[in-house]
Amino acid sequence: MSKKMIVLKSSEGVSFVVEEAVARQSKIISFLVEEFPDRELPLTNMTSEILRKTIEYCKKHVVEDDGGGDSSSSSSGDLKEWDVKFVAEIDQPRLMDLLMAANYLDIPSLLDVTCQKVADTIAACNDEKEIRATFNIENDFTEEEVEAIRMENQYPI
Amino acid sequence: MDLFNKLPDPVVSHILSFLPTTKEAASTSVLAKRWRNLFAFVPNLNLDGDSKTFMDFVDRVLALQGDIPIKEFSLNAKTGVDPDRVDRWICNVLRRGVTHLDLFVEFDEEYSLPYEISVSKTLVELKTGYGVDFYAWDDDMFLPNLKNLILVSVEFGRGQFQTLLPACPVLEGLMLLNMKWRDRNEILSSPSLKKLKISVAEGCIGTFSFDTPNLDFLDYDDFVAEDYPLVNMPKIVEAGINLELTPFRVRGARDNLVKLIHGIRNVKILYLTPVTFEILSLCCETMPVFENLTTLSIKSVMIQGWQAMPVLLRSCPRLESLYIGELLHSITDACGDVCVCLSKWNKGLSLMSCHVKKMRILGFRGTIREVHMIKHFLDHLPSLKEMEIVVEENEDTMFDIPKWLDIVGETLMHFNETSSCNVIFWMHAFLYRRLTRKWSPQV
Repeated sequence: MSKKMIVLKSSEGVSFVVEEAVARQSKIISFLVEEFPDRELPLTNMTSEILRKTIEYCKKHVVEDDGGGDSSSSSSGDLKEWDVKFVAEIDQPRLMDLLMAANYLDIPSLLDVTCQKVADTIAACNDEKEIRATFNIENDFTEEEVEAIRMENQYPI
Repeated sequence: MDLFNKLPDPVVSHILSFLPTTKEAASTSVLAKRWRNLFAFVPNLNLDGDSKTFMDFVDRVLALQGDIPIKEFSLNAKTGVDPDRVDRWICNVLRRGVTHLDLFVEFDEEYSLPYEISVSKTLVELKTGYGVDFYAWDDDMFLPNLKNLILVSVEFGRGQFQTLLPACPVLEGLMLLNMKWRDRNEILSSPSLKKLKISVAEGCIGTFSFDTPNLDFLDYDDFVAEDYPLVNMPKIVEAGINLELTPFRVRGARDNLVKLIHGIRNVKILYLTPVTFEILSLCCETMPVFENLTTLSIKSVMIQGWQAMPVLLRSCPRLESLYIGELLHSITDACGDVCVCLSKWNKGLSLMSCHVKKMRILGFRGTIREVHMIKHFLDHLPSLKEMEIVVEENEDTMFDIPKWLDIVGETLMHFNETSSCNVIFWMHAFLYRRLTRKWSPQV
């Protein structure tokens, strides 16, 4: 029996043909497939690059139900390792785009993996200046305000 | 461009929930105005502190959160934190449906866990211990969703432990660490319990009963009880037993131990510590048959004997993997036919009927006696396919003698070539480097 395929279209209009089981990890796509079967699904806020990355992740994480019960393509330890490598290879701006895609498409595991990576990056910074520089955050506080907040939140352990 | 610009606030908060502690998350509130309070809107709080500013911080975070649901609340409060405030924080998160509570307090005085915890309908996991007690809990305690309970050095009142378990109808995992038993006759009864770990500070006072029909994992570290009136765990799969014997319980210990061992006879995987292994020799005549046992791990040590080894091996008809912590042991007249300690006519007899396919020997010191034992196993275990020998890392070994490693290595290599079993001899790389460097003329 051939597997059912669906078509996803990126913001540039590039079509991606994906196995339905792979795409259904997105709760949004799962919903859309049921509402509009046999239609191309336009994802106008996602570039081809990010869509390709998202599909790559979903392909790796799909749980194949081949009649013999659940059989994931990899063991959970291998998957974790793969995830770490997957997000390590992406630069910061693209990681944020991927995180947004995971949020928009509602793929909880991808959202968690990308959020964890951003959190790790924040944790690795020495101070707030470094965090601002890493993520290009503009400081709209005055010196006094920063000092006041710091007093509020910082307590000795 | 600000990389967070495109992300909605809840997503930024979600990112901050992945930082290890709330304090770290809070450090982002100075980044920019937008970040001021984002750290507070997380479903998990992990707080650790001892000062007035800490208390004010927790109050402020909880006030910011308002009524939004919370999943995890982890608190490590030390002397200096007001117990009444801790009560209020706990009640606050309970009201908001907290599922995981992790409470460790280090106050000068005992802290009584608030009554409200004992009637939580949402709590799934509770971890607590050290300076806490349950005196505020009453007979009406009921935790209908509690699946995991972890208690470390907890003081129970008399009879309280007996009322706790029936109040947790779906409990699956129970860890009682550094436990002090208070009741004369402890009964651990839970139809839902699957995993149980017990370690004790003081051995139980009297008898101990397990009524756990669905238990599949047991890690039991205690002194042999006065009696085991009931050991009901027919579905047990994996068990680790560390039992010690107090001098005043030697009399009758055999019968009690037999009851316990019979109770766990359905295990597939069994770990025994040195002392347990030695006192098992008390049960040699009444050892049950372990019908399902495929993996047996014995952490033997030099000062103890192997009296129980022959009967244990004969009682495991399906044994496939045997792990031995150390081959060297005290030579006793009851050593039996498994080892080479005594010259007996029936040497190796118990091994001949044993179907072990894989053996792992840890803590190998390279003595001639060990090499003899290895040869003995290779000669007498008919189904052995793999023998792994791992060199002792921490204690002195014969390998400190120059060239000894080569001699032993060659001997084991010879065993590998002349037997049908794959003999693997290895040590950690650092040890190998240390030993080889020591003998090489150039440093």
